Amino acid sequence: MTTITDWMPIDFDIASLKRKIRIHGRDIEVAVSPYDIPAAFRVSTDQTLLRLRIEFSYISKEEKTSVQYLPEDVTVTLGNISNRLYSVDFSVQQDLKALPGRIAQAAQVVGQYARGSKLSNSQMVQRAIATHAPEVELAF
Amino acid sequence: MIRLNWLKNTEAYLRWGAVAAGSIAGALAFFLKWKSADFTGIRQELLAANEASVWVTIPLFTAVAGILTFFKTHFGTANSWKVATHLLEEYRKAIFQSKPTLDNEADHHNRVTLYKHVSLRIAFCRWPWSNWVVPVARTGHTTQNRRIPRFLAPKGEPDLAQGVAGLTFANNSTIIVSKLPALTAESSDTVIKRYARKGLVSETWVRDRLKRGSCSIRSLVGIPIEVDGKPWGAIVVDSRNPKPIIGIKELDNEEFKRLARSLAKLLEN
Repeated sequence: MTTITDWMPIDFDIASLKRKIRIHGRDIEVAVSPYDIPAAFRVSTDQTLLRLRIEFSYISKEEKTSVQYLPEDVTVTLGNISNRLYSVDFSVQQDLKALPGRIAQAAQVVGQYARGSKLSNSQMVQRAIATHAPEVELAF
Repeated sequence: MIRLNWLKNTEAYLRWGAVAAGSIAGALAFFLKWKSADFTGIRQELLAANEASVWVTIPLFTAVAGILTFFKTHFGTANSWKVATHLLEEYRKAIFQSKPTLDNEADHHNRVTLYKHVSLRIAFCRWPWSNWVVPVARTGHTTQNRRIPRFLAPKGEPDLAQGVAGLTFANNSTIIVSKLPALTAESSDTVIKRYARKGLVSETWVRDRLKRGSCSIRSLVGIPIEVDGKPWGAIVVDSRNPKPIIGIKELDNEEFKRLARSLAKLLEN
């Protein structure tokens, strides 16, 4: 049986994402593009297949996506134009105690392996999953 | 030059020019219905002239109608730029209404400018003409003049980008500049150098602006703008107040989301 939650706003500390880069010997203060910050997420769970899917929405309108298979049985969908991560899908175990660890692992895999995804966006998604892990667990 | 200003007059010329050229091409084709040999006098002469030149006049007027229609679509309508300016004004209010202001600070001391990236900029300037960000809309009716600067923003070579607008577009990241030194016509070379370095522009550019008496900006923020998932341009918020304009949390606020969504819909054509 598949269940799906409502869209939930993403709220995490983005202040720490300000950084300095050096161009032409000048230190420039940069921050992530607002388009790369996921605005909301929802969780769908398949209790039969034991899979969990986290979808993300952005301020820009939706676009066509393609699927990418990552290690540790994690699957992501990437926007064909923007290369942003629109969903993260991974297998889970029946044992609920193992769930927090599995969510953390999926977030790590996304940050590490999502090829073609924008670096700043995959970091945002990784952080969003880590911040909202309790809500994701609750949905399962 | 801000699109709204020159489109107010040009839009009508482009529209009626296209209609006139299309109508002339249609009329010339219609007159081919009659043969000049069947008439005498002035009618015969006019029809004969049309028959002789129709191979060039019809394609010419059709092409003119097509070109004018292309430019009309390319530059958008005055109404759509009015809406864009209104959206920028709302965003400006949302940013600055909660900020502490300097004494005697006027509205035009805090501005928001929308820059568009263009592949080719035809201008009276030295090469390169390709890959610039040009201003297309700005808040405040008193600050919309021809002197709003344009910046180089090569797509493939972000290191060559200039100014906050150019670097924001080229890096597709938010760029924050604050605490720029105050400049006057008497400012020393050291201060000008520091301003240029912190403001991400060249010293020549700063000196040129000083000569024209307009280099009073003390802080800026550049935010990338996307349309259909692709980088389109940038919004630059500038202020005469040296304190940072915007906190990183405000980047992701509701006002920006509303602005980004509305601009995307407005600009996608």
